[in-house]
Amino acid sequence: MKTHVTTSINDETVEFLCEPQQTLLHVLRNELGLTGTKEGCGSGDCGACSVTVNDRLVCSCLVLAVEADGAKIGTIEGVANSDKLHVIQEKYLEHAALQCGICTPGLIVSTKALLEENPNPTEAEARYFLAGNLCRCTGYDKIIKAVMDSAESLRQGA
Amino acid sequence: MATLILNGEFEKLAGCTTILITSVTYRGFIQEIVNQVPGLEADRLMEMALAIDGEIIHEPLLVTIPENSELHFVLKISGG
Amino acid sequence: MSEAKQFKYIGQRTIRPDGFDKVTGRANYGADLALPGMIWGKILRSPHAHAVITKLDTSKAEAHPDVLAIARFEDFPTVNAAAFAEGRQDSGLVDLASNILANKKVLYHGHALVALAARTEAAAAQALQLIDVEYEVLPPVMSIDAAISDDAAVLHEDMFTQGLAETPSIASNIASRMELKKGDVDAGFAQADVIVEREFSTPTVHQGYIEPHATTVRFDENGTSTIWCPTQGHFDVRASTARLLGMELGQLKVTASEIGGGFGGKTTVYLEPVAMILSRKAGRPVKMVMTREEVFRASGPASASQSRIKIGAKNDGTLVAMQASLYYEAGAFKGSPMGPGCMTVFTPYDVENMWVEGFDVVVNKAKVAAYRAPGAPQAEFAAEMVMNELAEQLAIDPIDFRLQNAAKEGTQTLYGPKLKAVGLVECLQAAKTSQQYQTALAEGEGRGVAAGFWFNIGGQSSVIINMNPDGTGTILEGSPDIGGSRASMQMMAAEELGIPLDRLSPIVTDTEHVAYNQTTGGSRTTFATGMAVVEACQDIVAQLKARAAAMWNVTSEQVEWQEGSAINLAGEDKMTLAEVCAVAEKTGGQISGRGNINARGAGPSFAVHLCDVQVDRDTGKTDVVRYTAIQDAGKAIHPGYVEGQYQGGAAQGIGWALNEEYVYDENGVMENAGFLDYRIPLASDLPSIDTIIVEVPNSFHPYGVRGVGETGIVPPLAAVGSAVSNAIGLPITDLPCSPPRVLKLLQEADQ
Repeated sequence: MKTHVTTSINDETVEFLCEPQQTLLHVLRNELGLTGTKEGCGSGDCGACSVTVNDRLVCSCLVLAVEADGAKIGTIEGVANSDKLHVIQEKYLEHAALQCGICTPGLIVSTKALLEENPNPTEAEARYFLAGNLCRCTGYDKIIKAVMDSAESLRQGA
Repeated sequence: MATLILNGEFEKLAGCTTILITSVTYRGFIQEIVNQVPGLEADRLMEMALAIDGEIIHEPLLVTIPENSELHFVLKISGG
Repeated sequence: MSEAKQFKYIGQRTIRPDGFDKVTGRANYGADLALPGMIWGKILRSPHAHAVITKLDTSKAEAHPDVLAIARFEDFPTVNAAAFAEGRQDSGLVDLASNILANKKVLYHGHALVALAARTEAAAAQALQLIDVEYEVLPPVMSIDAAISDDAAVLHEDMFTQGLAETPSIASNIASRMELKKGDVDAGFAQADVIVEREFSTPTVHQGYIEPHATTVRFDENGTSTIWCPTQGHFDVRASTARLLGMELGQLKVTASEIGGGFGGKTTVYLEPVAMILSRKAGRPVKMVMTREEVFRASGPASASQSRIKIGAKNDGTLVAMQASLYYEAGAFKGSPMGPGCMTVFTPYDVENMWVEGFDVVVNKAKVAAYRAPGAPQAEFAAEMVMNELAEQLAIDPIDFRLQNAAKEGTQTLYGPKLKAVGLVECLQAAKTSQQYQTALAEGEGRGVAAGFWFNIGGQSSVIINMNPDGTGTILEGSPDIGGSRASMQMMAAEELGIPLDRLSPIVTDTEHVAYNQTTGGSRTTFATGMAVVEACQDIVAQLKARAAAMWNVTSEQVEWQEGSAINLAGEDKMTLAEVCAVAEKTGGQISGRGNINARGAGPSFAVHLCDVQVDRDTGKTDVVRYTAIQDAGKAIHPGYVEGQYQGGAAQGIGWALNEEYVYDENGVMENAGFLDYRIPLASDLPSIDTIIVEVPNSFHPYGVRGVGETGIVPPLAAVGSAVSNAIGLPITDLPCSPPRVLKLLQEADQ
């Protein structure tokens, strides 16, 4: 018997039906067509599925879809303002902080969460906060540079 | 005349390290080797890349063998 | 092509044209496609590492109300024992098919046996459990030593070692042997004042791409069947699938989705042919996605290896002889990168006497696939470790030692040809003057240096550029973009045509819109596809000049192309590209350019890496505190993405050296098939990775480009290994230098 869920995704009200065992990741991707959030491992180890639930950064593969009921979900699709990129997205592009791009949505959601919690992180703080987002292409160097540059821009009111 | 330098298994089959080549075409070159070295088959040779004076050519079918050049058979590498 | 030339677009850090889609989540990757009527495929996998399949009954699964198709080895129409026995088929095709769906034997834990497609993922998973399989379990062969021992269980009854003086009559697990030699190593060693001989091992590791294999396919009886998948080579996916299913190339269209990492691991097929069989039988589109566990257990990891290296030198630092025996695990079917390993092992050095033998050995592990410079990291790790040990014994700086013996233009390689202009010496010099090398080590830190080499390849690329009446244009190319290559194509085209970047859209298109393109791999894309782009642009420029000439009523010879405009040498007239395109219909129709090439002249890329580490003697944990990657790019089209390749290769190599390994239990089952316990480097594990781009141009490419994607994974293994060894004052011979292993070394030394 499916459950009817009413939730808010990127500030829009969304309703869906789901089985009790379906994850939020699965529903986002396969039922709602929001494929920006990626599945890398299904076990909460890689961070490619990072979203926010009530402003808390989580792995959506570890959240049951039914838990979204009455909650506020934030996905990569909600980071830009229509076609206007968020500063973080611009900095990732400027610093060539992505190569294949599969980890990028998760990293951008995590970066946003980091900078909302800590607008002035040290490099070590940034690296440890983002340790839950695996990247295999870049070695993280340019990602961290993009994060630090984003932090500075945001502090200056960008 | 060009010089073909052999290594590894080919060298053992041929019993020598160098073969002088008179052909200027790739097909002629293969035929010369096959004629001189029993046991070396054309098919096997044509699976290899050919280095001419240091340039490794994966598909040498249409090459001209330059005068005084040094030739080597090299495994085709694909990479990852 | 002039070294001193100033470029307008090349060499800039442009924003990649596909960037917007990638940072917003709009880009579509392998698992992102759903088609109407789509059903889900799943695979039943072997619970044993080595067994004969004695019973396989799928009838109950077929009877499940939601199951619409089943696929087994026998469903490959073109692969059958009779054809193989009659020599109408090469063993490579049979091996490929047998890896995708097992034929009579299962050869590794996780080996695919049967696939089925059902209306939902859940139904497919349920139905798998209804398949009735029985096995005769055989002893698993899990290491080189085990595989080559006299009483080893034999994986393939028809494997008789190739490359020996006499082909044996008894089957074994050694698929082939190779030997290369130069000069006389015995005479060389006789002249040595110092000889170091050591044995090394490296484990099975995975490329670790974050995106699992996935595909959505639709078989179409009356038209073109389609495959959507993340791959480094969609034309080769088409070729393999067509071959396995008995289809013509023109009946099959493959679209390369965006790809979430490959590194060589996405250059073959696992799911696509299976999904196509299921789709054909069910009459519905089929989607299949590997779980992370399946990726680890049943895609193509990189070869484990065992190496014995012997190097001799004179007291003054001159190398006199180099010798190696290299054993590579191929996994369940023959075909490890033993060949390239033998060819690269000593290539950074100009030494008269070398002898190398290599063995391709099968074991009950997943069939290996390429991993960035396949074969080279394993072999060069061993050689570079011995080089560092020799340098220490000779009391010579490890960079100076390498400079003294460095390969350069004219050096004859072990595999035969002499090197053209290369940049190893420049990289070594840059290492010596680098900030890191000038930085004194803190108490307890260790430093390691290592060199690396990879050939790079050229190959076939096909590009079409279509110009629009407003002077914008589309670059249609067929090289899946794994690292930002679209940006480089856009820059090279802008440079050739002389128009701004934003007038050109580079698109990676499917197998129907351009002719065959070889797989993105072998560090070939910026080089070969770049060359094809340049050729297509030159085709367009010739046409633009002719059209302008026609407008001016002069001959083409009187027209020059400069900075994006046609100039009439006879008069003062000038027409921009946009202006010529605007009147194209008057002068013969719209303008397209073509470049279909088989690129020759790929230039090898040498690299030198520096690594400083701190080892915690209580836990055995190693922290990388400083790292510099120096590599010859020939000419960096987009410096940001070239640096990215250096940094990415370094990070993978650091992981290979410090933590990554497949841990197997006594039954041949991988115990750490997930990212928690298969530990790849995290952001918190790595320092900044400094990079230095050396540019010794490759004269065969219009802009001097050398491939850079692969070499970067070669030096880190020994750079890290030597650094750890120097930090703890003990030899390192086995990777990874993970905390338990380092701790054990420390504890044994204390006793």
